[in-house]
Amino acid sequence: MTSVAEPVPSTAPVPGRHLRLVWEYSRLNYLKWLAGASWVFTLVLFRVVPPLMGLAIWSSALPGRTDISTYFVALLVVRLVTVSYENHTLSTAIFTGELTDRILKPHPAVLSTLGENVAMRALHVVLALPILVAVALLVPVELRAVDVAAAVPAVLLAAALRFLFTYALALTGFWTVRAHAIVEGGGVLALFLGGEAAPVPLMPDGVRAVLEVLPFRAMLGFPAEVASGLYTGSLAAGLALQLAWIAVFGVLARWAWVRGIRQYQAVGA
Amino acid sequence: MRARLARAARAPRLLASIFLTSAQRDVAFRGELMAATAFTTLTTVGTIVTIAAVFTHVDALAGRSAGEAVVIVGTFLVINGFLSCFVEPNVELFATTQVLRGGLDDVLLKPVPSLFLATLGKSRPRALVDTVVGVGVVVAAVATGGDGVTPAGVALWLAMVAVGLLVAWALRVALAVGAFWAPGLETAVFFQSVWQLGRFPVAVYAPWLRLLLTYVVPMALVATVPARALTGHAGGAVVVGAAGLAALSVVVVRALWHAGLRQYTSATS
Repeated sequence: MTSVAEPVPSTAPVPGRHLRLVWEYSRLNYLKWLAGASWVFTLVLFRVVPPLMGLAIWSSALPGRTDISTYFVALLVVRLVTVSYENHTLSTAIFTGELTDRILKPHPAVLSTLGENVAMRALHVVLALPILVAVALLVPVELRAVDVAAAVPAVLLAAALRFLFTYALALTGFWTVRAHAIVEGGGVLALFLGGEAAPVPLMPDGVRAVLEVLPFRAMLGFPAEVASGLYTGSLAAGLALQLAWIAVFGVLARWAWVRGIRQYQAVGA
Repeated sequence: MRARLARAARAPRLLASIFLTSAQRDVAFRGELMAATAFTTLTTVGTIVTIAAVFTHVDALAGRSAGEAVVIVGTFLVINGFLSCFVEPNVELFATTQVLRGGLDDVLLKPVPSLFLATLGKSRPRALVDTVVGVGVVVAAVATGGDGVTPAGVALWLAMVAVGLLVAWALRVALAVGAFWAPGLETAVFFQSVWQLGRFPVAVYAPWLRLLLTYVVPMALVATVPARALTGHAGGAVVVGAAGLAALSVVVVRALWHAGLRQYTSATS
């Protein structure tokens, strides 16, 4: 009986393979969550309400300022594009042992988490389109093309930073069952210190100096400030700060992953 | 009729027993209590700092002073604490565990009013941290700037808080009851989005939203009206109207509940 040798799949690195894997995971998760679109829509509402509340409060306090209303509309978009639920995907996978499935695949485990993240963000934006259109029509928005163009790299970096920030916090799931609370706490810090409740340029002087350096504004308020013209500093400096924080959280996440996976025992912390 | 009244009279004692049993269980998880305290403190400090930031620019927010805005935040926390303790544990997964999977059968077979057991049958005493912090915030606000606060105002505040509790319960349950007609749709996230609107004076919102939040979805009764009562700005008409609205909401919820039960056909619906 003759046997035909199965060609052994090549394990040589293929350029763009990781990118293609992230795309496939994104597509898969997007379709999966699209089936539960009505529930995801409630998540969208949950993300949309705080910036709109901020808009109501600050428009009431300082009426007639279109830069502030533009800021909050831009913040709405930034919030949706940077949404991160790693505590629900990754931490839960650690607790239930589902992480084993992910680490046994022939690619870095972070790719599936990244794919889930991208899919969720895309779905948030798609489901929020009617709200965004309504808000853009009802709220006085003044956008300059040059500001919007400048905001694009800022948004992309903020999205990367938010992912790494949430991912690093979610990795505490290797050591504590309170990972959800820790990530939620991080989210609350971002809300108050990142410019969602109050734009950082409008904070009192001493506080503002600190907030301008912290990562929260870099991941949330900064792109919105650039888009609305509220940002008065150097764009390059702002982007450099984002890159610096990306490096910090990237290193932190990598360190946490290496330490955590060593003591992972397939059924939680 | 007499049997019904007798059953209703047992409700306070039953609620106390439920609370004490849950407290015994909660005391075993001190870490959870610390996490809840940390989270509430973080959110409260953030909200108050936001209000402080607003008031560095203006003297009044939609006609309200800083002290009154802080009293609203404190009152909101008081009611949020009670809601999270007594109601939320029962309704947070109502659509899936109770309606979709037939957990409601257990509730319906008990010799206790079904609405009572389904909405107040479990407690989470550690959530009362919110209430404690809220009372602290209100006391601090009154102590530092409460010139117009009289004992009558305090009594009225307590009465309006009780009214607010009824309205909060009614709102939460009315939303959860939608599960009878849309099985599987969890409303916890949606409720949280709308619920956050009560944190700030209703006057900051657009007129149409203000009307909506006062008469249709009476969020204003939750925090804004009690705060007005404390500072002596709520007239008799407002108080009577609030009490009337609260009574009406309880009646409406009871009707919705019984209408929903007629739809309910256990796990095989």
